Amino acid sequence: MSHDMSNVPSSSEPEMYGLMAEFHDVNTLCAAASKVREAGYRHWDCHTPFPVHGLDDHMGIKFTKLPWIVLFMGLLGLGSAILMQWWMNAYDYPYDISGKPVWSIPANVPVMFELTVLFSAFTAFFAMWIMNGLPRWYNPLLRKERFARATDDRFFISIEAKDGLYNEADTTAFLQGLGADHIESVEEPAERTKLPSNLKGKLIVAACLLFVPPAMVYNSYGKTTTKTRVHLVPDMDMQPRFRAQGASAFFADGRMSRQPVEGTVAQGELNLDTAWHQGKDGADYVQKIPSVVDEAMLDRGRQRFGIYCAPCHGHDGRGQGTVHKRASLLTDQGHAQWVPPTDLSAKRILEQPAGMIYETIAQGRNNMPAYAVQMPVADRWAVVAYTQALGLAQATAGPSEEELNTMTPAQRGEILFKDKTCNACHSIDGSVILGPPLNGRFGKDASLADGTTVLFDDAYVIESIKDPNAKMATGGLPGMVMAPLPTSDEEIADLIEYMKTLK
Amino acid sequence: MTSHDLQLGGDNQAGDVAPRVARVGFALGVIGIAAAAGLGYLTDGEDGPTHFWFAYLVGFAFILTIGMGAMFFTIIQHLVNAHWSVTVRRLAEVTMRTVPMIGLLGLPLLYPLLSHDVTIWQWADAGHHEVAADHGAAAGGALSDEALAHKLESELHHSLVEHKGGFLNTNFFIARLAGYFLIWWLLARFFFRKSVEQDTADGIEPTLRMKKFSAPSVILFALTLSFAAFDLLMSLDETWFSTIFGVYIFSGAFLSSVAWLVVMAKYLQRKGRLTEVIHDEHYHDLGKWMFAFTFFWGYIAFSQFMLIWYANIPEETHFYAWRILPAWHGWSWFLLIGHFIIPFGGLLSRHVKRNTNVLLGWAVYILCMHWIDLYWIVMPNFHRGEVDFANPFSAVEVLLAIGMFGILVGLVAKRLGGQSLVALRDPLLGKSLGFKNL
Repeated sequence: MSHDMSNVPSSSEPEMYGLMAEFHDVNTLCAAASKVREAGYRHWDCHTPFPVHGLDDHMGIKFTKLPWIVLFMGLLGLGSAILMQWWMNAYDYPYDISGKPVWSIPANVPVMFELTVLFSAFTAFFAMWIMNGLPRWYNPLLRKERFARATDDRFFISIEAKDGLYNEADTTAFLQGLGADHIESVEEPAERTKLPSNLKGKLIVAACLLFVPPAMVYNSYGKTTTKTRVHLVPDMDMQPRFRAQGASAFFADGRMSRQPVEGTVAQGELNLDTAWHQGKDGADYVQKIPSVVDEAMLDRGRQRFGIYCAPCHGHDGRGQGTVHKRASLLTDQGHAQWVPPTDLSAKRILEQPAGMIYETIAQGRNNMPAYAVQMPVADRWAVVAYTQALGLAQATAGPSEEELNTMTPAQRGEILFKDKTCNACHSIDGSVILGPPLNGRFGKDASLADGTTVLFDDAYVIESIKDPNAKMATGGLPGMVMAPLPTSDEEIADLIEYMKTLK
Repeated sequence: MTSHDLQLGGDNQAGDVAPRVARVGFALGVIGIAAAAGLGYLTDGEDGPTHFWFAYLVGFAFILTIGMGAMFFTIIQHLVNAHWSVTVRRLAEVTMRTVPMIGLLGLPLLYPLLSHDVTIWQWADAGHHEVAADHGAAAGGALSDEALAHKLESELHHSLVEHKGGFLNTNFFIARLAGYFLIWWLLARFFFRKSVEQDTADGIEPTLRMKKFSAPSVILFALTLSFAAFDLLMSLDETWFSTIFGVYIFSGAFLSSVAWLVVMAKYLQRKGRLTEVIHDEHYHDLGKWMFAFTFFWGYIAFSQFMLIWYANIPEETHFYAWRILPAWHGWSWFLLIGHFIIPFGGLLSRHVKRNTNVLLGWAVYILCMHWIDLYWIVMPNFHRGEVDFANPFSAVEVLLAIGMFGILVGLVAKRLGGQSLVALRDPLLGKSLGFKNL
């Protein structure tokens, strides 16, 4: 036995990695491996230049669990493919592809197959690495000159020092007894081999450089520029294709799009139910919506109305939408001509047959454009239903904002008196509902519950509305307390003007 | 180590097993086919003869594909210089050598081809039927929509069959089949003779000759098997076409022939032959082939199905449309699950492939499924176009399946006795005996 310490720095006591025994033929190695296993060693290995059949048995290595892991991951791949395609194609974004059902197994089988193979193959490859303790950058055995022959014509057994049974003298004697030609102790390297100092910097620079090409692509594609664009993939950027309204030198009529063959109807476009599809029964408009109007339909109508109609007609249908307001402003400044949108609560609209409203939506009217392209038939009817409901509600509701602006404060106060439900407790004819009547009170003294009196003026009304229980007046039912109502100062002013008129 | 020095243990001659099995096989064959013919012609009513000949074609295709799969097995081992398979290759060679004799069993099929009493290849009778169609059209007058549709379909059909007439006519058909069998006879004879010659040769000249010819042979094999599949089976549905059909038949052929090798090897070993020659490692590899080709069959079957399903063109889809009608719906599902999913799961584990008794069970199962596959391809053409499109499964096809299989067993057994059961002195025999799977 010879301790070869020549290539170990002598500055410090090296830590032991273990022992390395060299054998010159396979049979001795196999016999030795059996003995090492029987002796109970656990942290040891054999190193051979080629795979040796039966060595696993001698070493007592159990058959790998890898197939089970691969099977599990393969099934996981299959399941992922099914779930992914179901989610994408059938649930999240159903899209009609050549008339097939959105969830049809045959179309999904190739991806199911591929993901199964992908998961299995990656698992087989990477799980094998992990189970073998790879990647391992360094092994102390590789420092031994003799060990190079493990790739040529010698066989080695290494026993690591961390094994519980390891004892340098005993284990050396044990290995010698197994017929080893040569035994060497292997040391851990005294100093950690560090990465070259400038490697990290170089890697960072390289990683930064990797971002340059995508940045250039982004610079070329992702922003507005007056310069000529760089076309990385010209075939994709400039695809030869027919556009709906484009010109074509190919066809005799010079258009890209073709007319349907005369006398034919596209599939699903026969639309024999004219009441539903045109809003007309023969030449006459249908009076009522030709379907059941339910909450879901009105909800849908409200949503579509909000998207397509409200910009002009306003959310209340009174024709005061944002577009109208802006357009009116421009008209006033002399920049534009504008026909105001129709007030949908107008009598003539309320009296219109449903079919006529439908036709207006589908085909447009005056300067209102047609919405047939944006809105499917069922949506148009939903908007008809919502328009009628909205118009009716608005017609029976109070005046519009515009009308309010032209009223006197007292007129507005009268409306507010009802809107704020003042009239639920206060009468204006001297009778007592719950609270004291309010006619003929303004400008006079009012007697309070604590026996004092106060002048019924602006200040008292404002105080009474904002803090009703500060000065409780008599005249109502005993024990009644007024609840504060959220009311703006302008509204209170209007209410005061109204109260002044009440005799 | 050269094969000259190999001392093979055990009994590697068929001996008295061969004639006994041959007698049983031929007896089964004669009884089965005769009983089926009797049943078909005498008790099965008007359609009985046609039914019999369709079933005869299924049985014929069944044993022919096993023989052809064995031919591919033999050639491919030479092509890739495989060493694991040398110990079982003689069994494949013997099976392959029966293909010319199986060809003789095809001669009776000339009767339904040429006779107008029984029709299984409808294109062969196209001229005969055209008279009737013309007669119907000559009646003239206004046609109802249904009658018009029928007339258009019939005219389209006729124009297609006419278009194919240059290829699909009885004379060319017979010439082609004769050509295929001639080529197969030459291939089988060459690879069999050279292999037997090697048994006693001093050098490895015969093996080198086989390796040299293996590459062109594979090309010849692929072309002839594909076209034989087009002619014998695909043309049953004269307007249908699928370019992958030959590969589909090939996948089933190779799969069933490997299963057949397992059955053969296990039988001979139970009779005390080849006991020291074929071991778990060889069964393991045969099992891998069975597993791989179970999947390959499914892959090809699905490839054919998916393109047709996706394109959705009527002249292609009718093949599958017929097979999802009530009479065949169950069979189609049975085929998908029984021919693909079940054996795929069953053969996945290495423990199954190394347990030779379990593997034998799977081999028998796969042979049965291969027959069902061919039945599913052929039989929907019987009764097609009739109102009650029925599944005619009865004792006729069972008897014919047993009979034809009996003939195959007989032919193989008869060939078994003439030479060693192992390719002696094959330069790779030593490696084959000693190889181990990881």
